Amino acid sequence: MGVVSYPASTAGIPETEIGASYASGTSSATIVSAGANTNGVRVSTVAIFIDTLTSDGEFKVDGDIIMKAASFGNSAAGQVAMTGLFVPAGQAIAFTLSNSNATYYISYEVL
Amino acid sequence: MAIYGQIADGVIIGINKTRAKDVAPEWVPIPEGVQIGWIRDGDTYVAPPAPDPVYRAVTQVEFVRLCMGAGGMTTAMLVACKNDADMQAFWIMFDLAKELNKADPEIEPGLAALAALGYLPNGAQAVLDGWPV
Repeated sequence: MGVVSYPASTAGIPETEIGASYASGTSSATIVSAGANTNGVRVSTVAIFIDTLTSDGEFKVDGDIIMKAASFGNSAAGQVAMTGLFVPAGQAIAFTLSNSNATYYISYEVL
Repeated sequence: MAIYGQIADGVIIGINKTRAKDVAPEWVPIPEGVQIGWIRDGDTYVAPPAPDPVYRAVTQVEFVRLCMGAGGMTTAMLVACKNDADMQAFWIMFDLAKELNKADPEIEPGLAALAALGYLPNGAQAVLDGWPV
């Protein structure tokens, strides 16, 4: 994965190194804490997959549920995904998963 | 890019490859290449042991083919062992079974008897080793 560096000389744009970060897991986790989000975070893609009736998963920004995957009816599997989210500075990004039968995937850029 | 892992009960349950300057307390630095499910062993991480294979049930004809393939049984041996008085109890159970599982109590002694009587030139273990998953 290449890293794009914007030179300080670019008019109006501070020097910022932008490169994708990735995370995945099977348990609740804070991906970017509020304190670490000093310039905003671009969330390129985020997805949650569940594979049993007894699991669910939530994607949260600043404590609010932005996206949720849950079983429905007799369906034992569910998946949700979205792209292109910008999270302002000072807001945390986190997942809350009910159990290890839920999995999250996220690619993001810390600005 | 720094690589962090989330660990519960000594097992990696999350991986975060990030350029963030600070990460939440649940993340600890891990070496590159470590994957979800790996086990922490002191300062190193090892892949989990491969799960035990799950052997599937076979039909009667699949079992005979297994004996003739992996076991080396010939068609003449098949006919002979089917009529062998010492194998009749096995064949009665064989005919009653709708399917055969490797763990069935008749399989291992039955194969051992077939081998002992000379109907499995490659041995009983060859048939057990060739059991499909």
